[in-house]
Amino acid sequence: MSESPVSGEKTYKVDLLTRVEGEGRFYLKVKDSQVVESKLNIFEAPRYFEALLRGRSIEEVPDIVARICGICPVAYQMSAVRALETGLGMVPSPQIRALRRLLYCGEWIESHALHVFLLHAPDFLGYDSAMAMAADHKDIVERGLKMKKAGNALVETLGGRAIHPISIRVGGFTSTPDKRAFRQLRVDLENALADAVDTVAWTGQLTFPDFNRDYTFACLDGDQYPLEWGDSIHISGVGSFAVEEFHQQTRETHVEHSTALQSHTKKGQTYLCGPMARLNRHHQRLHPTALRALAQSGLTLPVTNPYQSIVVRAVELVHALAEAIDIIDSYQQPGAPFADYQPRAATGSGATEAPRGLLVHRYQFGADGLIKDAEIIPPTSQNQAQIEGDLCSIAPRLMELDHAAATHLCEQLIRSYDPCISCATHFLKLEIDRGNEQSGDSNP
Amino acid sequence: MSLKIIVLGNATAGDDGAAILAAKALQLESDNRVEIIFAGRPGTGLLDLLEGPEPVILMDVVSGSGEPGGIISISLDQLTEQLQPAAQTSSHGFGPTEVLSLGKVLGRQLPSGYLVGIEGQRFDPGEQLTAAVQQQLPEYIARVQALISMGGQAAPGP
Repeated sequence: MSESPVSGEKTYKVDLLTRVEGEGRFYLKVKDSQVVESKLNIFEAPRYFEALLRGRSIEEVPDIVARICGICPVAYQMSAVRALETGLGMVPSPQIRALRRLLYCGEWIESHALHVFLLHAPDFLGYDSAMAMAADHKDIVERGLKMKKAGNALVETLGGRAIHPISIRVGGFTSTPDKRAFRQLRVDLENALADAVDTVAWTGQLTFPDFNRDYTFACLDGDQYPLEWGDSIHISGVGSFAVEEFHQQTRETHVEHSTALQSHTKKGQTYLCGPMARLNRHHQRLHPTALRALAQSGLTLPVTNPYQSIVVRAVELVHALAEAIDIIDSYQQPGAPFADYQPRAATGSGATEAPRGLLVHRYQFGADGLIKDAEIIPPTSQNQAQIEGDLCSIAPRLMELDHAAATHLCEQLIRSYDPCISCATHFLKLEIDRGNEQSGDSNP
Repeated sequence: MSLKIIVLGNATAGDDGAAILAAKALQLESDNRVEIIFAGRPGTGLLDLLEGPEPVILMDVVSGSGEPGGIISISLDQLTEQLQPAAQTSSHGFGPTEVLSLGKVLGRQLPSGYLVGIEGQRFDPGEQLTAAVQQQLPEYIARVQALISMGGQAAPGP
């Protein structure tokens, strides 16, 4: 970090953001309490997954998109199969839906535990890293690791392995577990649930910077707390609309300082997706255990302070653990692990709630079952413009702090959104001008 | 099991997949006393994989140890004593050194064994290894094979 000595002008920057997923930096220039420039600079290389999918069989899509992220591969697989099955006119059986929801709970558990305890908690307890924090707070780090292990075990049981699961396929799963596979896991989840309830109380008593924003929130709509299913998306101030209308209701733009596209509503507003958006709209749909934990957390709804997202994630940890136990208790192994289908030419959209927020996929494919076009809109790229706006809004507060404290406040704010920069780098259309041999390549 | 081999890396990130390719070649030759775990980039999940009494061989691709294709072997004890963990850049940034250091701080019982690494050169998307790494892959496999034959308990060559 550094400070520019120009008169009346202060620059806050961190060249490599720590405790976020992927590589990014931020830059904030303030003059007389007014923001001159704010950039969340995502310089992680574009990864061209959408281009990679073209020409591949729809059967390969779940395995390929799982590679986008080692933290939330299930989210990518779930949005992918939702989009593909919608295009194919398939509706999964209630047993398959329950099993997918259970798998997704596992991912929420491991991802939220990682962020709450190892990435975000050090900010509140005054440490640079989880490693430094562990020396003084072994119990906190061990609690997080135990919870994460339970989530990983759940993903491994259903997905075949904890990282980049391999059992998800169009129409269901490649195979489904026997009920006995959950016996020990259920015990571990029960223990983790008790820890998660304590975690809500613990995070609720942390000290949060006073910083409330008038957000436009976006999340899935449905009968349950949003996770693996939902036919419509709700944006506050806009209303609810079908998932396939997402591209008409929002627009993505490229900015020079980022390899990730930024999202706005069609009226040009920034918006926020993720745990706060979900909780504010769907708190009545939380599992009763999570609802009780929320009532005792000290949070006031709607939550509009991003620093309090650590509490919201803790509440969602309780929800995911409690719901996972309920699903296991009522689990009946499906008669067939997947339903067959006939490929047809179609376009399908699907959205689910990744740990970090709304994840929208759209695929166009032919009757030969090959992908013609793919579009993947991850939550971090949707939130990127909002994060920049929030950095602008916190600028007057920075003037009261010394440079190190001000920079830290900005970093802590960015970490509040749990950005996954590696996921966010889906890219603009690339056009290569080779003189008279012009090739227009639409690599996303 | 009397020996656990944990293989780290990403098969779709250029040279980062070298240890995975090497381990697949090993698997054909190994016996049922050896458990091979393809762990990808497990982050802190590596701590869970290190639980248990068996000695461990960590196979990984390293960066900054020397020439591309160069092979290093270092005991897990030395790894935690001599190397400084990197700044915590992300959960993906929890490499073996950071995870072992975290385990040590937490007072976890860590296994004996070795990290055997091969120096990578390019980590771009793709499954192709660079020529230097590809050329050294047989030697890398031989080093790990030698260590397996010694039960994962002795230094595998220079």
